[in-house]
Amino acid sequence: MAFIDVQKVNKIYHSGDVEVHALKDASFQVEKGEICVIVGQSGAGKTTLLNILGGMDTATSGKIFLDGVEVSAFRKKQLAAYRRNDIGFVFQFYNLIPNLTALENVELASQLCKDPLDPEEVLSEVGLKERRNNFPAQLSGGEQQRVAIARALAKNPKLLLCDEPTGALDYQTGKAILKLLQDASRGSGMTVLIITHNSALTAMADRVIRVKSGTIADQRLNEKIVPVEQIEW
Amino acid sequence: MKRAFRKNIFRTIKKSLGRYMAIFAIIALGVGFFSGLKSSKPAMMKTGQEYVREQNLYDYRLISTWGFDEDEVEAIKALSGVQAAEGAVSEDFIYINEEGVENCLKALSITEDVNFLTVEAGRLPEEANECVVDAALFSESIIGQEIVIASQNAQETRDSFAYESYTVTGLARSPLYLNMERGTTTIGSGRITAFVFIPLEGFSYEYYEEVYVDADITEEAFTDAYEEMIEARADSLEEESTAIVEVRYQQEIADAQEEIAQGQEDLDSEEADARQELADAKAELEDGQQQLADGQQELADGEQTLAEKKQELENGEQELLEGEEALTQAESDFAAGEAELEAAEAAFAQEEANLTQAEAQYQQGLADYEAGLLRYQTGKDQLEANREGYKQAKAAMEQMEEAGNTDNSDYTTAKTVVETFEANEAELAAAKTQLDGTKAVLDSSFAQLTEGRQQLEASRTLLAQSRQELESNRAVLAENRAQLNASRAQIEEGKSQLADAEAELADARQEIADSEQELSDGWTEYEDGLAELDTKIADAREELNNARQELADLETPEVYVLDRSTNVGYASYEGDVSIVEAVAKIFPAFFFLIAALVCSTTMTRMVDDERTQIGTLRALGYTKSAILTKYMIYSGSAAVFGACVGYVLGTRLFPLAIWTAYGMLYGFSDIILVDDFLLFLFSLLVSLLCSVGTTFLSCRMELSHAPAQLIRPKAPAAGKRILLERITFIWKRLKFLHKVSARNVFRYKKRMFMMILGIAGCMALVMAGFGINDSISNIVNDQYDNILVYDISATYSQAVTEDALQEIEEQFGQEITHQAVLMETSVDAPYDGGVKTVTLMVSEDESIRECVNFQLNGETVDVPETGEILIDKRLAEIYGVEIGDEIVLRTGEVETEPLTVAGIFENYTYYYAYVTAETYEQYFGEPFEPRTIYMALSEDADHYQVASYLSDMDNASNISVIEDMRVRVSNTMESMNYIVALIILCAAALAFIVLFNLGNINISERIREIATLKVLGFYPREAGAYVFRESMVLSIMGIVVGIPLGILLHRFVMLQIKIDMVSPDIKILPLSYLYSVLLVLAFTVCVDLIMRRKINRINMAESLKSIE
Ligand SMILES: Nc1ncnc2c1ncn2[C@@H]1O[C@H](COP(=O)(O)OP(=O)(O)OP(=O)(O)O)[C@@H](O)[C@H]1O
Ligand SMILES: [Mg+2]
Repeated sequence: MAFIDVQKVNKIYHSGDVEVHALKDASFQVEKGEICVIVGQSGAGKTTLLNILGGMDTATSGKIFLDGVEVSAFRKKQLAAYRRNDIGFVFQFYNLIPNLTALENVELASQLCKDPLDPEEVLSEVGLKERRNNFPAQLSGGEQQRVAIARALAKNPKLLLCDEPTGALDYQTGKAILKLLQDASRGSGMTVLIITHNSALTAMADRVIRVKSGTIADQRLNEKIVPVEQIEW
Repeated sequence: MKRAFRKNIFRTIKKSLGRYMAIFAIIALGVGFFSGLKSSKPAMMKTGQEYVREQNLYDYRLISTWGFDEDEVEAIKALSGVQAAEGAVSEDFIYINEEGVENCLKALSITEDVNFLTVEAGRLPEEANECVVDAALFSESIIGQEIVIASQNAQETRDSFAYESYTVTGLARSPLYLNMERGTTTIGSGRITAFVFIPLEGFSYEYYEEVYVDADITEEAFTDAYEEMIEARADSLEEESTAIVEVRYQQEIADAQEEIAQGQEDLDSEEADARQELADAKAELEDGQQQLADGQQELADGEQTLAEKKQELENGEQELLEGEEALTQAESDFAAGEAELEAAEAAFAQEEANLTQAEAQYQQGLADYEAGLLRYQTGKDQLEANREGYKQAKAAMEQMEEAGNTDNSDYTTAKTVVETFEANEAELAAAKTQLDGTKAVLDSSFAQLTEGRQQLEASRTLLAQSRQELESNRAVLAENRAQLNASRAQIEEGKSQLADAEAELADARQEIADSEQELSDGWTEYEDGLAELDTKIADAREELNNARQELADLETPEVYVLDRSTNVGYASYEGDVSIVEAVAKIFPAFFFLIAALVCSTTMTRMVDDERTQIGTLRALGYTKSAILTKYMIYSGSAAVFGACVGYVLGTRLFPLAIWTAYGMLYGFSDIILVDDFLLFLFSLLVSLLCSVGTTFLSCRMELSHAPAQLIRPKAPAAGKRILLERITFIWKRLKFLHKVSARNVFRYKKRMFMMILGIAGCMALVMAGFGINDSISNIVNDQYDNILVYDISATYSQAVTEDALQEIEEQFGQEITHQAVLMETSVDAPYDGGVKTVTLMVSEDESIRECVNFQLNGETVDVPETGEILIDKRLAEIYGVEIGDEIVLRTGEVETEPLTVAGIFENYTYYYAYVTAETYEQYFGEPFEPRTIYMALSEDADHYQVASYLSDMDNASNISVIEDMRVRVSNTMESMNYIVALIILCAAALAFIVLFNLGNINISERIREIATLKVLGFYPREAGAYVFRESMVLSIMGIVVGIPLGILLHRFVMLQIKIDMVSPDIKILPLSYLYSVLLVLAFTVCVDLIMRRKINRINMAESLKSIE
């Protein structure tokens, strides 16, 4: 069984009288240590998929296995523990705690899990050693995203989920962020899922999943992996 | 635009109902508190006014030194401005209740036109021997029973009642007694416990004691206007009514003068009559005297005659005696003569008989002799015849004898023949001698006999002669005897006549003596009568003079016009209901300040939330004012609803709760709620100011930004280092989330202020609430544990004797720890605002200090000297006196001499004062009679057992166990709980509102943060704590600020609450601090729990999508 095994997952949103079928029989697999890029049009259901995978939301039907454990069968409390110990999240809008400094934001996460990395180290890895005592408001978007990544990495999660990590960043900064993610995966064999609109980024992935209006349109392994630095878009 | 605009507002309200409700609730609370407190006094005032009007409480009460009669009452009624006037009487009496406890009741006559009674149960009396009783003291079970005028009452008191007992027909309230104060009396314990209303006919009275006047005054009671009107009319009323009573005075003077003149006249004529009578009596007496003298003379004469007669009689008697003696001698001589004669005759007869016999004997003897002689002859012949034979025999014999032949028969025969012959021969010779002797005797006898006969015949003749003589003597004697007897009879008759005469004389003498006595009595009587007359006349003169003096001294009648201010219930009412007004001054300001803060923070948040929307609307061309209007309508409408609801609830709940608390003093009717439109308008205005005003201020700032700026997401508030971080050793130890909370706490100053103020306010209120409870319930403990240390007060109808004390000592020596004998009486303490009833303790017993703690601030107060008094703190406050000042007390209507205050002691319930026996006798002018014993008992003693023993003792009139009193007082205090509950309720509402509001704001503001934490794997508890640690910290800060506030608030409130019965001891128990803190924390936790559910519902996926 693959590290991540998503089987026929459906997600239906009920907003008022309208039913939105956000995911339709979505199935795919990802192997441990892979960098997987999910692409698709806006509204295709990428975020929905990621949320379900990350235990932030539950599937209407279907099964999800992570490292052989059926995540879709988890109750709320188990989901919280799952998020706490197994998942790292990087958001499009960073979502740092504004009242904590960069270092504190990282420490906040690392304090939660069983086997954390050293926050200061992680922070210097993302190149923010000097800024560790700054509050988020005192950091630029890229720096904030790096703090967010550091926060996710510090937890030393089994799976790192990133929802458009570069969406709010400029090209160079975006690249640096992606590099950080690739390095993290390569360095520690962490499985990383990245959502992006940018098809160019598929080049850096081990595996590319294409989502189209709630269904998995295509799932393929990338034969020719290009390091981030060399990707241009 | 209009419709879309309205829809937008509605949708906004619906979406943020929590916020809307926060504004609504805080405004409702503020307005409720404000309007409730503000309207409480008017409501109570109105209730009082309505009651006083409905029951037609008198306007004036007239008291005359002369009383009033029917005509005078009519005349007063006819005065202008008088609507009704009615005479009334009253009398205090002792009544023994079912438990045998002595009570003093006040009986008043039922008035028809004023002071209407309200019947609480049963009906009004219909008969003169029926009554209604005080609903405040009696329960319905008394209906149908009898109120007996106890035999303990003075005769005078009993005489004032037409009946000995009155059947209770119902329970009633009287407007004369608005509160529970029933006044004092000079009888019994001095404290009146209840009133009894009896029909006028149930009293026996000569004049009305007072007249209740209902003046036609349109002003409402308790108002200054009323007082002014009353005062304005009082003088003329006094003059007019005095004039009315004066008529009777003049009439009475005229009557009295006439009576005196008549009396003088009567006296004079009476004296003359009496003197005449005495003179007559004297003449009569003198007459009697003369008669007596005559009688005495007569008596003397009679006595003389009697003596003479007596002498005569005595002589006759003597003669008689002598005669009798002679006669008796003669008779006895005669009898002796006769006896002699008879003896001579008998001797003669004897002699004759003897002679005859001797003659017969002689004849016999003669015959015998002749016979003998014959026989001798014969014998001699015969012998001679035998002589031969003899001579032969003799010879034969002699022969034989000689022969010695004697032993043969011949010899014997011969011998016998010889002997017989010889014997016969001797015999014949002897017989011949004898016969010759007899012949001689016979011859002498014959001579003798012949002489005897001769003598005898001579004696016979002599005897016959003697008898003849004797017989003639006998006749003479008999005649003498008859003569003597006649004389004796005569004498006897004389004697009896004399006795009669003597008796007669004795009678006469007695008569004389009697009349002498009579006369002497008559004289004494006469003298006495004379003396009596003199004194009588003197007395009558003096009486007349007294009457003249009295008439001269007669005071002109005075009529006192008293108004309602002398009625304790009425006079206390206004002051008592004004308490809430003072409290109403500070609370609302505080509540409105919090309301303004709540509105401001809420609306600021609201605007922040809708920032992009505002920007968009602005970009679309909506004007600033249009957008501002939306928010102003939003908060304004919440405020209007809140104000309405708050006003309605506040003006109803507050007066009701406060009235219930007042019920222990004034329970005369249900509260009448007052609606004051101006008050509502004012509340509304302030509410709008708090809501719309703050909305305007906080939104204007936001809206002043350019639309473009608004559209962009607001930069998250910058993280800032706080002061705490500089204290690194603490800061380091904090967890990150604690740090966040610490930073958050200080991030929004307005919210912090709102929270701290709100929670502090809540804390202060809760503390005040608990504190009120502590201060009051503690009074009871303090009062009965530390001040009145005694456990039983036993009052007897007479001074306590040594014997009784001895008996108690023997019975309960173990149980009683302290004991004091004293006199306990009630006196009035008049002061500017009215009259208070004071329990006066009078004692010489030093141990009273063991039973009652005379202390102030822990220092013992010294024993007062003569002329000095110890009073309690409450009384000192009322009088406004300090040590060294003078006060005047009153018993009944009599004022005491001024007494120097020597000390002030702590006391919380009722009023107490202490003087020595000497002071009492000198300054109160009444005898010291210690009838009461205070007893402090050991802890394990059975109070009731001791009490029941004491009440079985002789003369026991009232045994009270302090434990009962404690229960009674604390029961009364319980009505304060309504106010406490209301305060705590408001505090809770306040806490909930600010906590919810802050919670809501924080959650809505930090929804992303919370979602992020959740995504990071925070458990719900942890995520909740992130938000609530902050409100907890703020709550604790609020509590810290609230404690001093609470102390101040409590002090302020307590100073306003001056209940008549108790004066609170301002204190909050440590336990109450704890409870207050716990309660406020409980509110926080409660809101926390509710808010946590909201946090749990936050959807991570959605919240993180993007920044709106
Ligand atoms: N909470 C929700 N309620 C109703 N519909 C939803 C909800 N969340 C997502 N959807 C719908 O589900 C579909 C998938 O949305 P999703 O956010 O996964 O798209 P996406 O692929 O991430 O798009 P994008 O690239 O714009 O972020 C969309 O059509 C969206 O409208
Ligand atoms: Mg998306």
